[in-house]
Amino acid sequence: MDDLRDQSDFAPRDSTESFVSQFARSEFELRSYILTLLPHWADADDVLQRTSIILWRKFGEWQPGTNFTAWACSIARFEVKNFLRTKERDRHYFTDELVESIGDTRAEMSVELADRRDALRACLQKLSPRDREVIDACYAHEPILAKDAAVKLGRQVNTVYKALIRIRRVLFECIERSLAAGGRS
Amino acid sequence: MSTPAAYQQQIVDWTSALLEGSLLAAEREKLTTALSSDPSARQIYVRMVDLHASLARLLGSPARQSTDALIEQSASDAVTLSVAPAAARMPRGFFTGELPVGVLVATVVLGAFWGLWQAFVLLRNRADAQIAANITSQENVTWSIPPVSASDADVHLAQCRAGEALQIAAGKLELQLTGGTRLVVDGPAKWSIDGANVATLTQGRLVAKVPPQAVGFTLNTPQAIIVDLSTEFAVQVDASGATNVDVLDGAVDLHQAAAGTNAVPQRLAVGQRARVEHGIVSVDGKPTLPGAGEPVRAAGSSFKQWKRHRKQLARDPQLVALYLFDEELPNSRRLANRASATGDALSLNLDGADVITTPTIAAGRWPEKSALRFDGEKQQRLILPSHASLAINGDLTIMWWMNAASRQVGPRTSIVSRGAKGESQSVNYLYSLGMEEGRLRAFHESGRGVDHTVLGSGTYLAGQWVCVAMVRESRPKRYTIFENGRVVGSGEYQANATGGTDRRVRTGIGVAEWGMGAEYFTGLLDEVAIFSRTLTEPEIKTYYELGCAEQP
Repeated sequence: MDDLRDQSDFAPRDSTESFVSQFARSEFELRSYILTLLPHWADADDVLQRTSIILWRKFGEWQPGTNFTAWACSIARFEVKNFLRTKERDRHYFTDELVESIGDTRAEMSVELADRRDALRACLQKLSPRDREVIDACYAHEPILAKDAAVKLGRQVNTVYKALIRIRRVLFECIERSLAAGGRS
Repeated sequence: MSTPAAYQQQIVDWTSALLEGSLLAAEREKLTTALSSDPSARQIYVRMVDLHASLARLLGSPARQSTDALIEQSASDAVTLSVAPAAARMPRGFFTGELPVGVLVATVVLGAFWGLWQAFVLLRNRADAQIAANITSQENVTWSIPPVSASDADVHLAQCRAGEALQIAAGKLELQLTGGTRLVVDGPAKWSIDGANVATLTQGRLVAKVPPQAVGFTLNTPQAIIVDLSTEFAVQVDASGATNVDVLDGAVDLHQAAAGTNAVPQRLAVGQRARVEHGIVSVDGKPTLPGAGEPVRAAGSSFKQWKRHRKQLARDPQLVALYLFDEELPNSRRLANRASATGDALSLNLDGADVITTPTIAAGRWPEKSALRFDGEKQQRLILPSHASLAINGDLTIMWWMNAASRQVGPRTSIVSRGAKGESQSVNYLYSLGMEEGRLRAFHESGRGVDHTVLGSGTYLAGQWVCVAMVRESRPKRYTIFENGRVVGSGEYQANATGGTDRRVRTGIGVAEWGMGAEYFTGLLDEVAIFSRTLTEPEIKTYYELGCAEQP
């Protein structure tokens, strides 16, 4: 861990442009990756912020021409484990071993996930206006919990919670069908 | 998809609930088992989490969308990347040759700098959100690597970001972590503050002063991990990474870095010194087998050590009430509240109107102190003064020591409760912690008397002193029940406590739920503490280990 903090790790100022460019392109993938290992938005956000700082410091070590996102994800996984070390007695978090397994699985699915995101856009168009209202309330700014969305919508918490779970399931299945149909064609 | 549809749907729904923070403990265990053992379950899980992240991206705020706009530009250089969003806001026709070329070029260049600046600001703002410590004082400090937040002219009162590498060549400075721990660093030293309650010392010397709310503070060095148990300790790391630890007060757990914190630690008590070098731990000059450390009780008087800990605890700003039942008895009939935050407002008089039937004084678990004896048949109980700070609806921790006369497997018995007879919004129980059918029990009401109950999974010990702690976490909604520092039960509940505003609502110790029959505690009670926050597992473990008269 110490090598991450050595003075020599600071990136030279003239690499700013390149870093911003690479980071901006990878940020979503990185966030999704971290969220897979830490399935709580605020935790994932914390680790993403920390990872972005370390990536900036370590940017001099990245070899142009290699996969920046993969490099960033490897550092993010390390940061997730550091985070988990502070939570190791908390049963709400995954174990180190499970983080490794999920991280490996996630790394193999990048292409598939990109296809799924394309399919998601079309599936969102198929939602009913009422479902769209719920999903918009839950994701309009930072993702919020169903109970907070319920307050915004003026509906019962349980109603919104069940609707959100159902809508996510509907979207998931819609994506599955969409990809399966694409595969057949 | 070879995964059966029902199984897939189950994983999808569990993952969805997990993302909402509402997955029940039993379901969480099933999901974890599936993810650990089944690659197809992991794939479904990954797809579902990515769906969640994608929805946030697609439907999210304009600020995030503007970042996404950057992502979607697959331009090969930063200038193109930066110009695009600026250009998007310009009127149509701007780039169609209607303006002189010089103005166009100047605008492109300015746009590039604007875009780059915005992206930089974005990164900088993120970093600012990660402030982990403040520098509170400095003496003759020569910085080698100052905090990024410090100006060139003045690094006094600068802030340290999480993970930021810091180095001083000389001098002394003091930092306060956001978790509450104070660190005094002596130069030359290299360190980083890694989070609210975590730091790394790579080289040099520091002294850590850890208040009760920061118990569990962890200091990493190249060869050791030191986990605080509410104390003050000094650490010296030399150029090779060898680490010396001196415990100045309280106790710490010392781990070898290579073994991690899952290995059995070496417990160090006040006055002890340890050195970790090349994988060998020496305590007071004597080598110990790696990982073979047994809990060591503090040198000197254990009771004195416990008193120090209690004194520190009393300063916790979220400690609402602390009754020690020792120092004022038997000479005084007054039970003082030792919590600094509320003080005398919650003290009570054993002979006063706030006591219905007086418990008697008995020998405590230490020779130096007494306890209160409650005789269930005589309906002995204490009623605390009415005070707004006791009306706790959310996060809550209540701890006490008890020596129950029996397992009290009969009706419910409350040790600490706030409520009144009746079920309505205004007379709800905000908390009622005690026993039911021989098991520890946590209970409250919401709405118009809707019960929320969590029982301990095992039976508690009778006829001996036991340390009980019950923690209510309002988000996620969960009770965790501890006996002697170990979790013996936990469970989620559906809604937080509400109401409890009726004048009849009162807080009692040793008393049953009001008006529901002869449900009074029988046995000895000692040191009842009520916090309006959740205590961590290490805090509770420390409380037990330091407070236990017998060696755990």
